[in-house]
Amino acid sequence: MILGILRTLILFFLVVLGLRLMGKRQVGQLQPYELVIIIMLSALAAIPMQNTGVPLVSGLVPILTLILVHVALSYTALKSERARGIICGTPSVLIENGKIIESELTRLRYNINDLLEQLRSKNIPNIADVEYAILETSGHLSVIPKSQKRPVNPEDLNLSTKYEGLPVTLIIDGYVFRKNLDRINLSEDWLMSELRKYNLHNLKDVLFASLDTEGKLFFQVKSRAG
Amino acid sequence: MRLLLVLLAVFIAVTALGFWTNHLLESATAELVHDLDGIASQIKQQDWEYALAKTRELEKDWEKKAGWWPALLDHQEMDNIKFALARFKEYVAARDSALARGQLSELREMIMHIPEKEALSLKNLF
Repeated sequence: MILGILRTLILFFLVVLGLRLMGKRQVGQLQPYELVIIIMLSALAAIPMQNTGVPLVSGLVPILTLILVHVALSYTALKSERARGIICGTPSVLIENGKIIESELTRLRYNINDLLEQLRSKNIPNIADVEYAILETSGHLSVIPKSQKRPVNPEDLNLSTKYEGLPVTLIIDGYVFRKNLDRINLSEDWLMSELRKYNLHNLKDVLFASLDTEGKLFFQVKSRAG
Repeated sequence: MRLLLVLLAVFIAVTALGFWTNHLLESATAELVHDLDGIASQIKQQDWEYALAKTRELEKDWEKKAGWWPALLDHQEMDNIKFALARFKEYVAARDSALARGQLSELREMIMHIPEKEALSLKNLF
């Protein structure tokens, strides 16, 4: 039983390490070959985990091989357009200039109901409003509505807008992000002095604090401290 | 690119280790089979004392040579050889020629099966 626990821990951490090495793309939409690798990894890890008669190496070596294959394929796809087409496939245009490409739907065995369902899920109930619909290699449908049907943006109205950057997180659950403070040339003393204005004397009492590009400090105190 | 190179280096090292272990398995099993053949000829000549002494030696040799094998090979297969060796020793001690020769033959096949199973061949690949 102890052996089982140890083997499970070893394989778990190895698979987690493998997925981390494979990159962040794994977490989101998977390419076909990535899906195959994930399925294989789970099966490979499960066998030596449950059967202590199987040497751990029998699981470790194939996992290492799969990680190598994944990284090699990713690099190949990154460097070569042709290889990318073979490994990941190419996006398919299902609607072009408002017209459904029937031959493409047939080739992909993608029926109109599926297409309508995907459009509805993107808040486009009327297929007539679509200029382009592209089925990406991950199976995700990208939809570009006709210009008359897309939401109005400030540029359409000739409105000038001011810069909106990203607020900088300063505190999360009492932990002060000194690196972020340094990045915007501020110090912990400044943060403390700002919070003192609101009668707060301990940074550990702050649940969240951030500073936007206009210099406005937002913060929320932990419920027990408040 | 660095990640790919590191993984490639580890993979090459593991592959080289694989070839090396296959070579070690082949030479170790060849020695064990040679010892078994020696014991077989002693049994044929009804030299039971010598056969028993050689079997005990073989048992120790097995422990020494195959100590690390379970790290790479199916544990059940290793255990089966150990049990078969124990049975064989008792048959030799009891001077039962038929059972000893039968068990020896099985043991020989079991030991020879190890490098065969690990060998890089089309049969194993498919």
